[in-house]
Amino acid sequence: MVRILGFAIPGQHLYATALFYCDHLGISAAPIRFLLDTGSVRTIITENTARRLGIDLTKLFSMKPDGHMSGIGGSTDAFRLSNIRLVFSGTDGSSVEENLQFVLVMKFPKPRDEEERKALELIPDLLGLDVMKRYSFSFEKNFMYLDK
Amino acid sequence: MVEKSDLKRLNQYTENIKWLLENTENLRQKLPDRYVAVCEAGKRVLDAPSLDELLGKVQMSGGDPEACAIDFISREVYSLVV
Repeated sequence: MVRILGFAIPGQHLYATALFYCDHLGISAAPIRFLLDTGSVRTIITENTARRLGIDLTKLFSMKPDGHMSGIGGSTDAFRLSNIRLVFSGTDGSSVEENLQFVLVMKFPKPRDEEERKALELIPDLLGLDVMKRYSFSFEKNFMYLDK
Repeated sequence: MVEKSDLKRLNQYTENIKWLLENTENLRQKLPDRYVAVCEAGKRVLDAPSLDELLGKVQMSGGDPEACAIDFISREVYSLVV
């Protein structure tokens, strides 16, 4: 059995960290913090994270969007990054690898005002059901265990 | 294939994320509406008014910049609904 640990501070969301690999874009072992979100079918990274990974957003966003995503507050365009590997650290110190056909990059909509701009900056990267459904999960206080 | 050094980087990043989560309220008092990078489990904290500026600072600061946890610290407390 492998076990991945999700963690939180009291009263907050649960997070897990992983290394992000996208070989054809030359991205290797970039750490990302994901919010564990059973409400998202797909794993999503924000444009801020994509920028941190060195992805050419001008090129990416010049392509036709692969879809739209919506949530409370509105909707925005989504773009695919194909052939992604996520590597988690198991609780026994081993590496746990998950391959994904693609993840989505969320393009921030143009904010209407400063308050909305700040709210957009707070949107986290989301680990979706495409990964989480491969595991059974359980909770214990401020931890979430993903087991398989 | 995952290198041991990559897993070490992930563990360092996770420590930085935990420090950031535990100290968000302190950072909100000291660095409201700033982008913040936490490195070496809180021993080094960098800040800037924009993400690009912060990424530049982190690159220049030495160490392993990718192991630093980066976040925007808003002046106001927002409840995130996902």
